[in-house]
Order: sequence, then structure tokens, then C-alpha cells
Amino acid sequence: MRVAFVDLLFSWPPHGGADVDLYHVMAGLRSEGIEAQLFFAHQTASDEAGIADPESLPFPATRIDFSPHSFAPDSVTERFREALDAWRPDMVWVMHAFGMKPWLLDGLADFTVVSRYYAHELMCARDPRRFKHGAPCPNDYLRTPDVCRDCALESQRDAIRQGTYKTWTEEYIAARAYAPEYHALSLGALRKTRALVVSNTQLAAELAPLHDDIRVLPGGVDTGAFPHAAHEANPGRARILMSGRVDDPLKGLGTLLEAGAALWQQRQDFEIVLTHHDHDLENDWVRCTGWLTHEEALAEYAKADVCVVPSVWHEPFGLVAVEAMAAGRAVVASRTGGLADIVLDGKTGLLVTPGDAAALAGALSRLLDDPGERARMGKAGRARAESDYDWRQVVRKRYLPLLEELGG
Amino acid sequence: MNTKPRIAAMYSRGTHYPRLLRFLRNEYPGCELTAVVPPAYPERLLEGQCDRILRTEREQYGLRDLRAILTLLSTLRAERFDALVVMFNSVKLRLLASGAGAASAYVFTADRRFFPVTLSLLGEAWDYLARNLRGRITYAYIAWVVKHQRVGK
Repeated sequence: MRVAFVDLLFSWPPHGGADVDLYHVMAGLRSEGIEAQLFFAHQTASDEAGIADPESLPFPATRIDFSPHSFAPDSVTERFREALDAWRPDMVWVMHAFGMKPWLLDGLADFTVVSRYYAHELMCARDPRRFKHGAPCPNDYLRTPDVCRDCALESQRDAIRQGTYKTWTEEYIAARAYAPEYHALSLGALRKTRALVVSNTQLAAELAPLHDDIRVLPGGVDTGAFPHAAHEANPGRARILMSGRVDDPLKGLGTLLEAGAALWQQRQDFEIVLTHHDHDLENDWVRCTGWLTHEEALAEYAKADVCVVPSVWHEPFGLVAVEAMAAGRAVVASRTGGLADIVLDGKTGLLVTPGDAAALAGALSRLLDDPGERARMGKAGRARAESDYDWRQVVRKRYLPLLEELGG
Repeated sequence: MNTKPRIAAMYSRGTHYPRLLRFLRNEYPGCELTAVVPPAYPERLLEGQCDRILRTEREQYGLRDLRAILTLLSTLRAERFDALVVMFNSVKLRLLASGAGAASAYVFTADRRFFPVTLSLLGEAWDYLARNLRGRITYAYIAWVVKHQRVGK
């Protein structure tokens, strides 16, 4: 089977989780004997997207260059169409792209097309996060287009006026995503798509009225890379680790610090370790590791007693929760998005309401009190990571059956 | 008297800074390489990668931090570098490179393109203004479309 992956934003070394996901899926499918090829766009004036050397990738890749003037719906669709016609795939997966995606889906509709969404780009016009005023936004571009068009205009005002925008705004302008007809194009393109793929069941449920074939495909980790050891409680204070992009307000550091302050009033037997560079955050119970190499970050998991993922947005996947499980650590996470799929409440960790500092403090306190429960959860988490989230398993158990089903 | 060419590599938030340092070290093995990095950038990540470390006053600079920007420019000018290399081909960084008083300025991008900043400070300022003007016209058009052409109608 020949499967083409089309991506407008792919970069390697990666610029984000979507790049890492695509890289592992491509490499995994190739190792399973699937003929997979990547077709990705490179904007010659951009330093942000499409920065990859096809020769350095472990799978065949074709880079299609666009100047700022040629990065327009017609030429983008036409250039990809030409490349795909020459390669003749059985199926086309349109992966990471923003405003230009509906044009691509529409223009490639006579292939069997699967559309992959990594975050909320289908439902939000202002950015892929769908997060506003400190909370997940209840609006949805497909259902409330004019409200979302106004919001997108307002939020991108300064970037457009100053001409200093990034890829989201670049595609917003190039694809004319602000125009009223773009809404009908988006809905029409969805109808022509064979299946939609998202990263969590919450998002799948939300999109269910719009499409009758929505699949949930998680990301993964290389579980072999994690220095897994059975959990042994730290002899001194217990370590609660929050890792990843801690400085991103969506990740819920504020909630964790509030929970930590409340907990410190009751007990002084813990410290919270943040993979954050701002040492001003440090106090009696907070320590920042500063910037870490990948290996150092992995080592932090091994030194942790509990890992915490207090995200306040609808986290599309939640890679750090999987990493913590792969390292054999109990996870306390927000009950939202992909985290609610990854963490089995009471088995591999505990789930709490996003933004609820008291609930978070309660969950952490429970695990601090019971090293035995932490160890049991860590062990169950490691087993779950190995069976469900190791890249090899994700490709074999999730991607291959889906390709067979859709391709057949 | 130091006769080695003096090259400064200016850090911006981006993943290709180590690659930039390695590139400069390989391409210009005889140079004195200075890493210009923010206060919290870990020294151990620079070990063996450069000859000197110059810490900036702030982690990040915004357009409103005029005093801090002037201090940074004055520090860079006092160093009289032979070349200053920035990590992105952005107007702000090109303006910084142009104003830093180095004999030449270059951009090293994430996809390993290395090219000189050829515009003068005046040229960069003009480019900045032209970009703003184009941006304001684009915004005015989009705002008109969004406000007057509703999907619901």
C-alpha cells in the first residue's frame, strides 16, 4: 500500500509535537513495510515551517518550495496535486496545516483523503489552542463562524498591522480564512474527507455531528529510552515533577503553585521541581531545573516520586503524561482532552478538574501519604505505556488496522 | 593585540543555537567566538562551544524596553566585533545586527542557511516602515471583509 503524507508545517529537527508525531509514524510505517512518503511545503521566506533536509530523514520525502507569492490556495493545491499524481498513492493523509488545509482537502478530494488534526485548528479561527480569557473557549468556528471571525481579527490585529506574523497568520491571510466563503469551503472539505483523525476522545465526541468517521489515534514515546526503575521513595522530601513547557500558561503552573502553597501549609515533606528557567519562582518548596538536555529531562523523571500535568486547556494529547508513565511514575493530571484518555484514574494516576487547586492539592497529598499506591500506579503506568503508547505498538495496533480498513 | 577575527553569535529563542556555534567553530576555526546569551542560559551547554560568554541584561527584549535595548546595543558596539550572527531573518534582529556596530552581520537560519545582512540601518528602518504600511493596508481590507461580509447573512 502506498500512503502519502502531506504536511505544510513539517520541520526537522522538530518545532513541535506534530513534527515528532509525523516522524515516528512515517518511520514506523516504513519499518512495517508500508510504502509511505512525505510531501512537505517549504516557504522560502520562512524560518519557521518546512525547515527540513529530505536527505537527512529516514524515509522518502519530497520538499515543495513556495515563495511568499506562490503560497496561495490554487498553487499550493496544484503543486501538491502534481507531486501526488506522479507518485500515485492509494491514500493521502493531510497532516499538520492551518488555514490552507480546507483548500488542500478540497483540491485532493478525488484521492482517499484522511485529515489529521493535532490540536483545535479545525474549530478555532484565532489559533490552534481554542483558549481565551484563561479558559477553553466555548465557541467553535464551524458552528459560530462570525463570532470566531471577529475574535480572529481582533487577536491578530497587531501582528497583521506590523507585518510580523507567524505561520498561523500567514496561512490565515494566504488562504483568505477571514472571508465568509471560507466557512462553506471548510464544511464542504470535511464532507469530502474519508475520515478525520484526532488525538483524544473528547475532541472526537465534539466533532461527531460533523463527520461520521472520526478516529482517535494517540501519539507515543520510545519506551526504551526511559530509564525505568521500580519506584523507590526519595529518602528526603518527596519530589513532585512538572516537566515539559512549564512556562506556557496553558500548562497550568499557576494552579500547581496554588495547590503547592496550600499543601505547604499542611506538610513540609515535598518539593515541586519545575523544568523552568525562571529561578525567581523558587522558594522553600519550589525548585527550577533550568534548561535541560533531553537526557537530563529523562533523568528528572527517574528522580521524581510523582509527576503532575495540571493543564488548563483541552490538551490534545499530553505527551508528558505518557513520558511519566514510561518512566514508571504515578501521574496526577487534569481531567481534560488527551490526558483523560491517557491516565486511568485510580490505576495509573489520579485525574482532577482542570484549574481546581484544592482538588490538585488533595490528589498530591493522597499520593504523598501512600508510597505503596505511588509504586503500584507507577508500575501500572509503565505497563500501559509499553502496551499502548510505545511507538511500535501505536503503529502496529492503531495505524496499520486503520490503513487496511480505509485502504480496503 | 588580539589579531583573531572576533565573531559574536547572538542567542534568540530557537533550537538551532548549538548548531550555530558548531557551524561557526567549524567554518572559522581561528576566530574568537563569543556567545551572546541571556542571563539564565546554562553555561554547561556552552562548554567547549565558544571562547567567551557575554550575558545580556535581560532574558528577552520587547519594543518597549528601549533603555535595555540601547544598553545592549552600546555593549555590543563597545566590543567592536568583526561579525555578529543572529538566528532569524527577522526585521528586529536585522535592525539589531545593523545597529550593533560590528564590521559585518549575518543570519544563520534553522535550515543552515548563512547569509549576510546587507541592508544598512537606514535600509532596515525603511524596510520596517514599508512592512508596517503593507500590514496596515492588509489589516484594513481584512477588517472590512470580516465586518461587512457575514457568514450568517
